[in-house]
Amino acid sequence: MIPPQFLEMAHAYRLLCGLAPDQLRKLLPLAGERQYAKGEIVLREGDKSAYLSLIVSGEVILEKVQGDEVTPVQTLRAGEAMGWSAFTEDGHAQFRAQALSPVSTIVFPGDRLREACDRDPAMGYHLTKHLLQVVTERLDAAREQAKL
Amino acid sequence: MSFTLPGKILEEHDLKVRSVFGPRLGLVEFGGTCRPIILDLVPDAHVGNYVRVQVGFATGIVPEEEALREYAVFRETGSMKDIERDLEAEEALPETVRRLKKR
Repeated sequence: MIPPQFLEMAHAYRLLCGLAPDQLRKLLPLAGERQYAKGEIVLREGDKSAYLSLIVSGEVILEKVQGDEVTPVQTLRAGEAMGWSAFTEDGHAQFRAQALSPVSTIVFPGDRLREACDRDPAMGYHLTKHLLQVVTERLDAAREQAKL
Repeated sequence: MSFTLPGKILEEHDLKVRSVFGPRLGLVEFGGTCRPIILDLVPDAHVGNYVRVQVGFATGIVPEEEALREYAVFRETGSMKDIERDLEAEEALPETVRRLKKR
């Protein structure tokens, strides 16, 4: 019998799915862990995204803030990435991210991640494909929200 | 910046679904606290082995003497309770290990 938390963990790490072991060995030394308390602001809209984060546990809500108006865009859960703009050289957060519960993340500094991908284009291609999916999901979520 | 701790593999499980790599996961004990850890980078590590763990991945086998020596230092410096508390609270390793490395 496989403990359920093992399956949850495998799911939580799906961003790294498909990377070869030697590629993972290049990425892991860059990674750190970061935790957020319930209600804590993870990213403010417009802030420079310094880290690409992978949510290991907990929930984060992305919100569009315009003056006093706050519009929810998407709720992120274990296995999902946030801060994709850190992967670009001058990326800024498109939404505010706030922890809905205690949140545990693995973080990769954007500049070091880019350097690692420059040195290993195959790894860069793999991550870029996954992050494009993330960007597409954000666009879809924002479009759906705009319809409401 | 990265932080690592040695832990002892208590259980191994092959999930038989290709959601990560193998994926092979293990229940790894860190001085009394256990966490699920991905074992795919250490194909030669099995139950009873100590492995070095970094952000949820075992990255290499650690000789038992070396692991026990590290834990002895944690206990001598009074840091073991901090580590266990942090692990149990999923507050994770960074703060605790950062403090240890500064000493």
